[in-house]
Amino acid sequence: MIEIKNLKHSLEKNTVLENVELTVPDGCVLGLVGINGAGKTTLLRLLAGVYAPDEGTILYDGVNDPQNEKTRENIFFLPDDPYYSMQSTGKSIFNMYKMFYPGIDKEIFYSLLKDFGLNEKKPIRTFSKGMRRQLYVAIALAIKPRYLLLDEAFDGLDPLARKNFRDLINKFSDEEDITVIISSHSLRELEDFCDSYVLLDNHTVQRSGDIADRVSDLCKFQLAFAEEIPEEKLRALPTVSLEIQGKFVRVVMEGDREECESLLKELSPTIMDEMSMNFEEAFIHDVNRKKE
Amino acid sequence: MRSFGKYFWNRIKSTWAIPLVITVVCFFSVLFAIGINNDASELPDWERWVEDIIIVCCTVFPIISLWDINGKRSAETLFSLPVSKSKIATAHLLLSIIYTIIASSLSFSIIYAFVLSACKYTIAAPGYISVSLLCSIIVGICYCAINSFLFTLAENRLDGCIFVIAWQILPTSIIDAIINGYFAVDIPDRINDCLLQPQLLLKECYYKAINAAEAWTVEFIYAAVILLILMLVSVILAVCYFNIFNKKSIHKIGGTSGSVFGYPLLISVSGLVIAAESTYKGSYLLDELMLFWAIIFCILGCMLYRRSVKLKPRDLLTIGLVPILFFLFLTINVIFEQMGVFF
Repeated sequence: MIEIKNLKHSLEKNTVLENVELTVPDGCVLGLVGINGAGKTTLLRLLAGVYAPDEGTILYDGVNDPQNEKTRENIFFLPDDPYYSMQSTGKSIFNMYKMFYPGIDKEIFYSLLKDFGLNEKKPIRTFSKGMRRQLYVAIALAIKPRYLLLDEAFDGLDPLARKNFRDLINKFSDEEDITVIISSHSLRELEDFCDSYVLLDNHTVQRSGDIADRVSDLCKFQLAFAEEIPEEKLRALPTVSLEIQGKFVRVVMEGDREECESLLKELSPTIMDEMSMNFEEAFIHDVNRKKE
Repeated sequence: MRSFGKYFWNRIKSTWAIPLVITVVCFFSVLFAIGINNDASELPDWERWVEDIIIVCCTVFPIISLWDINGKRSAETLFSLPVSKSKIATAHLLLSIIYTIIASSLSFSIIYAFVLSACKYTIAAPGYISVSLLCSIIVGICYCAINSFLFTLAENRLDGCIFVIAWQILPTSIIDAIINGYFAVDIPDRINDCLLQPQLLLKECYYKAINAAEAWTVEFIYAAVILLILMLVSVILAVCYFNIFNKKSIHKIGGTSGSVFGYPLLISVSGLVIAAESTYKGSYLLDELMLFWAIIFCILGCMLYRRSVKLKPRDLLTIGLVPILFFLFLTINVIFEQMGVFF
């Protein structure tokens, strides 16, 4: 379990994170979301021990600090753009990590490379960004760390590779009881395989919880009226977002679905359809609402 | 200790090839220089050439060893490994020292053997050679510590290389300016040599020390003091190196190197050296011109440092320091001249 208490971190004079309180249970797959500059990478670097917090604590299993070497043996942090030298090959990178993570599973690594169609003897500089990410994902999964921290995990991956990646994370998370924290802007991908999410905004945790719960908290309706309806009437509703195009209205509301539906029916729309919500829309609404 | 060993071995595996190539290139260039020298009487110079190899090694090897630390992506990867920053810092410093010792010992031994066989007479006693090598290694280690500090002071690789090279050249330039200008006319030129090749003085110390009758000559005291200063400076800077290393932050790496001991001091001192260069020639017009060029140099230096034509108020202080120091020099000179100390 990871516990973050009253965490604060500044980069030079800019406060990036403050009053961050978070608990990540074991075996959880947590999606870290937020707009650019929200502090996702900074939080991951703090969790990996790359940065030391200015204030507050990060505890692994209740006692261990990520600045401690022993704790870090259980953590693997995959940065957004991991380093490789001109001569580096998949094999040489594997051998480097083997020194620090002796439990790394060679069979898993080579079988994943085979699945991804990567040649371990080819210089990494000749790989595309997606291929490089696949290579490092193979290393991360072969290490089987207790805590896997992935920054911009889906960046550069094609749709097929994304699906493979999702399946692999799910499989390893279930089988090896790995706790995964993954930051990404691909919210549709996160929705598919994350148990829970954390929304970082305004330097702190704005919202966190179960992704499915968050999506089900919101309901979206498309309405059509016989005549244009006064905007004030619509604005009076407890909406999260509202789009008006003449006689057509698209509205997102938060709360009990039936209550929302009955409120809308009072406006006597000629057509009223409920539309499905997804996590990406929920995220956009959450961020926009905060700005307003 | 296990994590340190793993990290150290990993760094050796990643960096060994470049030091080897540099050593071999230097080694063969010296051998070539010896080989084309048909006059056996010129061969004693071989020792100076080997010392040049050592100076190259202790300048280049800290840069190679710390190269990945001043790269954003590489530093992020290295700092996320299960090894503490202190151990990483120790490994990088130790690596440059070990490379320097190996390169020095190999170059020294092989070239000595080559010269010995070519000369067909005893060129120097083995005892002298051992002391000479030991002295060179001690000075090499001091330089490794100083250069590691200078490279770590920078936030990116280019600035690191500029700091290391500029601070190698500047102290001798300052001494030059002082010797040729106002102070130190009676101080032997060997101080200048000392800053370039302190190992020569180390050897001198040794020989003076074993010969009690000559031990306390002025030269010996100069040598001892300067060597002591070098060692003291290298120990202080080694401590600063660990301190700076532990404070290195990924978000700053790759950005502007903001340390006061980096560009600001470097630019001011360089400007002063340029301005002071002309003063002993006794032409006021030249003095003013050189001061003008020194200020132009400082402005350009600040632009290079900021990577921008827009300068910050702090840069004006850097530039403004040059005429202030320069006129201070002139004032001291006038006072000393009136006192009859110089010229």
